Amino acid sequence: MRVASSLTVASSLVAGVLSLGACDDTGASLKITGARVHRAGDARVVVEIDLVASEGLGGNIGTYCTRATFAGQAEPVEQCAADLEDGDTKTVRLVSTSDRISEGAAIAVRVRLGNVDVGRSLAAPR
Amino acid sequence: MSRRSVLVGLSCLAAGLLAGDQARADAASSVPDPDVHHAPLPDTRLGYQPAAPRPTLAWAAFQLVPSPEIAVGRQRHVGPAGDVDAGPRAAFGLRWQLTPVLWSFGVHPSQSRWRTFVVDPLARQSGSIELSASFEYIGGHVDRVLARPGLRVYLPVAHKGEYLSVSLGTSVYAYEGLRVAYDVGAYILAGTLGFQMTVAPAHAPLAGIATVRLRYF
Repeated sequence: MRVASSLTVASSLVAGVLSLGACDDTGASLKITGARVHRAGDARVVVEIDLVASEGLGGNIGTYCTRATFAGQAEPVEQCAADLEDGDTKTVRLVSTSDRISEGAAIAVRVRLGNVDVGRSLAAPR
Repeated sequence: MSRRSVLVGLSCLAAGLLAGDQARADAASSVPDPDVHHAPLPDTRLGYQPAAPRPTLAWAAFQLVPSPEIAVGRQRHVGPAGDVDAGPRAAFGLRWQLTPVLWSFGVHPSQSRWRTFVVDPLARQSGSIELSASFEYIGGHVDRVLARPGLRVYLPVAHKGEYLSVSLGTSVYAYEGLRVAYDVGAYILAGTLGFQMTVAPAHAPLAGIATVRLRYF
């Protein structure tokens, strides 16, 4: 009788444990962990953005876009990809098309995944 | 005359019997009384109070002993030129464990089945369900502190778990979102030394953690 009750308790726990798997957060997200800027030899501004991806079930996070808007340049630079899975990190490099971006000019970095948009602000180097 | 003589005879007989009893009583008083100890009746005002272990400094010191562990996982890095580094990574960590509440189904029925924080090894390893809380620091590619609330069941295998017991559990932790992990363990020496394997099937950077569990009370 006692063994039976113990087994019942244990099996209930196992069922509870297995059902907890359904509590996984399936939301995908992308975070900026770092951003750097420097000027290339041809005077264009280079922005490097460090990203870390997460997806609750360990899968691909889907398509995301990284954009840099340089003050003094008409069009932003944008790069889209779908190459990141849960836990992956990536360094994205965006280079301005203009070589006339002045020192201290504002650079707005945005990373968009689905309807979530995160960003950083930088300043153009000398 | 005959009636008188009968009465006199009865009187003499009665006097003789009385004298005999007196002689026997005198003889009996010469034997020493046996040494008898009378135990007092139990004091019914007192009741049985089951032992309730409480946290002490020594207990707290034992809780500070960490359990070493190795975390293995995969964290792919994509470089700016598209180069991919996808090798498996390992990191060393330390884990501390607490048991806020435990319900033992292995202790004697006369004992309380509940334990809070201080858990005697027999109560845990002889069969129990615990609400666990562990804190760990993992270095390397993880480099963070994790807190894991969870639930674990211990089952005895040999000698009511003193020689060998096993466990099955689950826990959740925050790591770029809420994650779920599952663990299995085997323990010897009344649970003071054990090996736990924690797996997170849906979390590549912390896919597996092997822990040498050191724990007492």
